[in-house]
Parts: sequence; structure tokens; C-alpha cells
Amino acid sequence: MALLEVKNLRVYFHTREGTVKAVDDVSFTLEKNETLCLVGESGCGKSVTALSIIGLISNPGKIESGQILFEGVDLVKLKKSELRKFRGTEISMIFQEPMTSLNPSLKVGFQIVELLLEHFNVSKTEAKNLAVEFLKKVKIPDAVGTYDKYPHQLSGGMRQRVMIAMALISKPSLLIADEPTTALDVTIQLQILELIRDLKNSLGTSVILITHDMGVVANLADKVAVMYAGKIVESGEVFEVFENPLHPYTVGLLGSIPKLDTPKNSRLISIPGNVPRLINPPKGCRFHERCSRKLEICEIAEPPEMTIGNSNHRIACWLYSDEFQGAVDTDERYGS
Amino acid sequence: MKDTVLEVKDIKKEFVVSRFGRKKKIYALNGVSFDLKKGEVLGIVGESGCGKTTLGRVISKIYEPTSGECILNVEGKEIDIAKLDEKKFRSYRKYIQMIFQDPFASLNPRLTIYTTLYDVLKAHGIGNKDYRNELIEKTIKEVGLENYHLFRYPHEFSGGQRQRISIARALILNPDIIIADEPVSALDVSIQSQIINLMLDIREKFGVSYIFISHDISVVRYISDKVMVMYLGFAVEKAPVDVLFDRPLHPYTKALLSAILTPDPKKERTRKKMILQGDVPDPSKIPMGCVFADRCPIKKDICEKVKPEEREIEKDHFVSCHFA
Amino acid sequence: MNESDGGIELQLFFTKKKTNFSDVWYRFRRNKLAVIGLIVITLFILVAIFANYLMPYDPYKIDIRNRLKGPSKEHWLGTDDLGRDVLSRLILGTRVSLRVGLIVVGISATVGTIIGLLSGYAGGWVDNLVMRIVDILLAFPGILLALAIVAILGPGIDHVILALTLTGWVGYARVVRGEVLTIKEEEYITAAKSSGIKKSVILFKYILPNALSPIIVLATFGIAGAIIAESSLSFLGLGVKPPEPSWGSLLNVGRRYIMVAPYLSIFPGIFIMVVVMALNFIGDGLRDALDPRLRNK
Repeated sequence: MALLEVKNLRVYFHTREGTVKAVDDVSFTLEKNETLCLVGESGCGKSVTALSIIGLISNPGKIESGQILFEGVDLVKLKKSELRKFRGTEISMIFQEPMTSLNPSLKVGFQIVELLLEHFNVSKTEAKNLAVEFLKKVKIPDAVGTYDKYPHQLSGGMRQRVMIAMALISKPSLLIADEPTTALDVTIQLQILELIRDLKNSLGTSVILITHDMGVVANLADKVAVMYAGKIVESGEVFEVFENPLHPYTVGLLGSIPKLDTPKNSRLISIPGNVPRLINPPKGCRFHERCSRKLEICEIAEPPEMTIGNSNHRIACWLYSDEFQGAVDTDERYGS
Repeated sequence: MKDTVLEVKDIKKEFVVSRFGRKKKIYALNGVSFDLKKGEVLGIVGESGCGKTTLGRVISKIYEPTSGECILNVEGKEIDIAKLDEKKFRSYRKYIQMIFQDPFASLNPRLTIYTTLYDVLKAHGIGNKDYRNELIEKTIKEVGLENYHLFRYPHEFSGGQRQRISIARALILNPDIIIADEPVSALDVSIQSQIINLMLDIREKFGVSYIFISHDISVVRYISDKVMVMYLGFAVEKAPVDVLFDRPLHPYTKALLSAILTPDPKKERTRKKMILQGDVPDPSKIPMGCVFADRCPIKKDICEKVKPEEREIEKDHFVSCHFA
Repeated sequence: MNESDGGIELQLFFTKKKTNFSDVWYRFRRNKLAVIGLIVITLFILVAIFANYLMPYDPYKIDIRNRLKGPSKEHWLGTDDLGRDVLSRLILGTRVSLRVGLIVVGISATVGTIIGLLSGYAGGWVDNLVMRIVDILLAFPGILLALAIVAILGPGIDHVILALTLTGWVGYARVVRGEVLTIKEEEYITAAKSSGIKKSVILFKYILPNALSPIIVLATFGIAGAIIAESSLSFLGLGVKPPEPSWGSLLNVGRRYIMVAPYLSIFPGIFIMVVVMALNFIGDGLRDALDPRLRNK
């Protein structure tokens, strides 16, 4: 059984201006000890997807329909109090800006101990030892000293390590990391990514990593799901998707990043236009207004999700539908 | 020296901050020098606290430098703008313009785009009303927007469009130098390339020079002609872009290049990575020796005691390291 | 592109496009409460101007036999302790009260805003000095200070206005300065500086409009405060001289008879409340109309 199975999840935000369909029919699965990256631009629904797994969607947002099966239990159906038992023990989350998730007026060590005392049946001394042990585990050089520090006395990288320690101390089966390295410097980012990889392997945790950075995906993911305007447009094994991107959005996204071997003076591929507003999303395929390879059908009907070959490379795009297969020139398909 | 538009010599900037009554000196820039030619793009890279933003703001005189020279070569003469007071600098301001990181914050929310641009022209006493309107119209088209956009307010635009407006505001004065401080960092990936392409088009067409400040090394490599790597207020390495990426010498540069994530999982997972230990140090305590000593993987005793001199290893390739 | 073409096209655009003022007015009009507020205040101002024609009775005419009579057909709002017509006295009192309220707030908001702007923008010792003065003035209860000033200058409505203004500006100065400290760090101010916009333009066109909302809130409450403060001073014999009426003094007189003739305090109270509410509505509407970000909502 998969660790997590999200089926046809829809999360809507009912605002005064209209209904924002932040997540609209999203499905994916996550196996044990696997890393899934949800990647996409701002407003694509990647963070909302994550928040709904951990049960943190609050007004005006609402899970409209769908299932979130965690070890076979549907989290959507659980009561708030039942859900709380999962949160912080079975499922943990870390955020982009660790400063805002730590209480600024309490010492770091105290905050970890509090967490342990709340969720587990441990004595204070045990909790303290465990806290220091985990601070060591996240490779904080002076773990004992850090225990007695306030969050503002730590650097951004150290704070993120503390957050990771707090998230993993309960040995959760699932860690959700929402842009964990976006606020950090590049050399620190590499440290944190290595740390997440090591801990995942040593603790056997599954990871859902949310990011906008294709480099982070390439570094860490086993599977990747590319989101656009509330939908997953393409998903699959990371090597397969990067080597053989099919959806025009994925192709554009990968092409718009300057790489170290991008020849100078060549123009970057850019996707024209802007990310659509989700109150009135475009009809048909949500990407059609910006798509360079739009077909007539794209404006009318939503593309079905289909599997390419016999892999689990899935894509929602009319270009690859059997009926329209003839229209696709294979050379063009791989974005020459 | 004919085609050099800007020559910065040994520029220093200290800030005094007082916290709970205790005064503390922050050494943001500790003697940085470089020159910039006409139509050239200088990329400045480094992590937070390395002084790259301060450098941009010192050159555009938002901050006054503590010492050093900043020689601007315009109107056929050389002027050290570092020495000019605010009043005297006013007439030179139009030669150096800025683009900021956050397109949401850098436009006045209460002014239409037209007013924002008009105010700039008015402040410099350029033309009469008709001429100004013409110029505004021309510039807005140049950055890929339309006339009807002019009477909208900033909140009615997307991030990418706002950054186009920021570029228009800089461009309208026909500057020789545009300092772009992380101009694409706040934008979505698919929008970033639109803005980068636009900036390169503008250089082609108007021959402006850019100082492109960014933490994103792949973007800097793509857009720059030469690159300066900064660490704790020092320029640790300077070189033409291809040289720097082919033959980085300073261990910090190597680490920085190694930290770039390749959007290709096969390459990303097999490449050799150099993971630096420790954090970016505190700019209020400048070490006696090499600034990078405490994180450097090839550190020797001398590094902690003696500050390395800047040496020219090959043509135009400067590095400050004892062992490079 | 033909050079002159561009200019003309834009000129045409201009004539089609509403100017800034009509834009603000258009947005203001769409807020119903604000429009009602504006109508109410206009009515009160008209009442103050044409008081002589509107008063049904002589507001000074004492009629002991008809003292403390409740509202009736003859005296719509009843009579006071000396048998004078309350409605007539309220109508006449509008003059003093509105004058005090509007002038005090007008001057102190303007002065306070300018001082706050300059102080916050200049920073350093100027800011320190100004803020210490503000602190000292704020340390005293404003009414006590006003009392002292009127006591020195002698009673009279102009002196009341002067005294209330001298103590009134500090609140605005402090709030505006706080706003300026935040706003001047905004990137659009740095951006304006780097494109060479003059200091005075930055101060009044870039910073001030963004600091406007707390000023408007403070001012609408300030008018009510000034009307009440005038009544307190009048009560102590330092404001309008009896028998000249003001809303505040009428309210005070009513207090003595609150048990036997509550209407004596209720009606002036309602008048003050209506004006304050109307001003609040106007203030809210103005704040929203001036903020282009709220235009589409």
C-alpha cells in the first residue's frame, strides 16, 4: 500500500470576489521512503495541496471533494481532534521562513522539549537529551550551545536545521517541506538539501518537497509533479520527466532557466503572458493562452490525463491524446 | 580609458548601527574596485551580507561612501561622483539608474504609471509636456507595454509587468549605466526569462552598461560579460565570465559554482559537489586575515594572519587568495 | 515613429481619461454612506449659516413659566431651565460648535502633519527634539493645558480655538512621524530618490498620500473631541459666554436636569453624534477613494 494517496482533491477558496479553485482535481501517490517534488510557479496550488494534507486549510478555504488516504485512513473525513494526532507525529511540515515558525521569545531547546512533552510520554530529562541528540543529527556544530539560544541568535540556515530537527524528532512517516531553501543563501541551500537527503535515508521518511526551483527537483526528487493553475499537468519519475518533458509548460519552464551550458547570446525560451487568475480560470486547458502549440480543442475542453508508454509518466495535454496524435510532429515534440 | 563609463576605486562603506544604545560598526564594503565599459554587463554575485546591494546603492549615491573614488565618464569628462554632494550630483543622476528587486515594493502604489514616469522627467527638467508625453509613450513601448497601461496603478499589473515598468522608469532618462539589484529574483521562473531577454534587448539597442547584482549565478553567467565575486565586503575574484566559470581560482568561487543546482537530475546527482561548512560571517567583525578563512577547505596558518593581496593571475583575472 | 504623432495620441488619451480629481470623486460617490455623511455635514453647515432664519424662537428669550417643558407642538425639542427653546438654541449652537471643531482640526491636522512629516523624514537630532516636545505636551492632559492657556489669555471662543489647536497638533505629529518612518524605508521611496525626484516632491507626493489613512481617522475623531472640549471649557466659564449657546454647553446644562428633563442632554448628544458619524463616514469614504488599490472593490 502506498503511504499517501491523494485522489481527485479539490480545494476551493470562497472569497467575496468569487471562488478561487486553488487545487482542482489533483491526484498523486507517494510510496514509503520516496521523495515527491511538487513544482510550479506562484499560485499554482502546490502549497495549498500540502496544507490540505496536513489539515491546515482554514477559512475561506475548504476541501470540496476528494480523498487523502494516509496509510489507508482518509484524512479528509477525520475530525479536527483526530487529525491533530497525525500532525507533528505522523506528518510533519517545515516552512520557507523558519523565523516565522519559531516562537521568538522562547529558547530553541525549550521549544523542542515542549513539543516532545506534548506528543510523547517522556520525562523532562529524556526530552532534553533527545532534543540535543536531534540538534546533533541535523549537524548543528554546537548542539548543546544552540539548545540555550533564542531563534534570532541563529542564522537562517541554523534556524532551518532547528525546524528540521523539530519536524523529524517524532520520526514521522511523512515530511512536507514547503520551499525549505528558498530563503537561504546558495551555499547554505546545498547544505540543507544534503541534510534532508541524509535524514530521509537514515530515518526512512517519505518527503513531499514543494519548490519553484527545477534545480532543487533535480537534486532531490524521486518523482516530480508539475503543477499549473491548480492542476497537475505532468508527473512521473524525475529522470523520465526531465529527459523527456512533454507538456509545453514543462518544456517552457525547463527552457527558461539559464543553465551553465546555455550558450551565451542565445535567447532564453520564455513563456509569454502571465499566470492566470484562478477565479475565472481559462476554459479548456488552463495553459492554452500561453501555449505555443495550442490546438483548437485546447480552448474548448479540458485535456484528459493520460499515461505515456508503460511508465508512470502521466500528462494532461491534448497534443498526446490518440485522437490528435496525428497533429504532433515527433521532432517538434521534444522541443528541438 | 576611452570607453570606460565607470571606474570604482577602493570604495569603502561603514554603517553605524545602534542597538539598545550600544553602537556597532558594520563593515559593508572594505575596498572594492572595478571598471565598467560602455555596453558591458558586470555581474556581481555573492550571498546575503556580502555587500553587493550596498555597492549598488553607493554607486547610485543612495548611500554616501565612507571613502574611495567612483569616477563617472560622461559628457566627455571624468567626475568623481563619490565626492559630490547631493546637490551637485543631481545633474549626474540621470546617467546612473536603478532597477530594484521587488517590483511590488518599488512602485508607489498611489501613482499611475504615467505619473511615475512623468515625475522622473519633470525632476530632471527634461523637455516640455508634449515632449515628455512622447518620451513616455516611446519608452513604455520599448519595454513591451501599451499606452493604455499608462493610466493604471501598480496593483493592476503582474510582477513581470511591474518589473517592465521599473525598467521603463530607469530607461526613460537614457542612462549610461543601469544598476539592477536582483531584478528577477522575485519573479516566477517563466517570467524571469522574459525580463532577462528584455534587458539584453535594451543593451543591444541603447548601449547601456549594466551592473547586474544577483545571488543566482546561472542568471549572472548568462547575462554578464564579466563577473565579480564578493564575500564580506571584499571582491575575492574578478574575471571575464567564461574565464571565471572555466577556471575559478578562489575557493569561495569554486564553492559558489558548486552550489548551483543543475536542472538535470542525472548531471546534478553525479557531479562533484563542494559543500561549504559554516555560515556567512558577521559583517561587524572583519577577520584579520583572509575573510574566507574560517570556511575555507584549503586554509593554512597564513590565511588567518595575513590578508591576501589581489593578484592578476592572467589577463583581467584577479583573485585575492594566498593559494590560488 | 513620427515624433509628433506620439504626443498627440497621448493627448487624445488624456481627454478621454478622467483626471485624478474626478477619479477620486467618482470612487467617493460610489460609497453610499460617505455620500450620506457629506449631505449631513453640508446640511449642518447650511444650518449654521442660515441659523437666523431657521430658529423658530428667539434663543435668548427667557420664559420662566414654560421652563423644563418636554417636546411639544410649540417647542419641538422642549424648553430648558429658563424656558428657552432648545431647538433654537441648538441651531444657533451649531455655529460655535462646527466652527470650533472644523477650525481646530483643520489647523492642528495640517500643522501636526507637516511637523510629523518633516521630523520623521529629517531624522537625527531634529526628530529627537521635536519628539521630546511632543512627549512633554502629551504628558499633560490636553484639556488641562488648554485650560491654562485660556486662563492666561482670557475667555472667548477664539482663545478656545487657539488653546485646543496648540494642544491638538501633537497627536497628528506623532502618528504621521511614525508612518513616515515606515514609509521612507519602502523601496518605492528609495526608487524615487534614485531617479532623482526632489525631496519636497517625495515628501508631499510620495510619502504624504501613503500616510493619509491614520490622519483621516484621527481627524474625524478629533472634530468630536474638539466639540466636547469646547463644552468643557465653556462649562468652566472659559469658552462661549452664557447665554450664548454651543452644543457642548447645552449638553452640560442638560446634565444638571438629567433626572427630570433627560431630553435636555439627549438632543445635543444626538446632534454631536450625528455630526461625528457623518464625519466618520466621510473619512472612511475619503480614505478608500484616495487609495487606488481599493478602486475595484
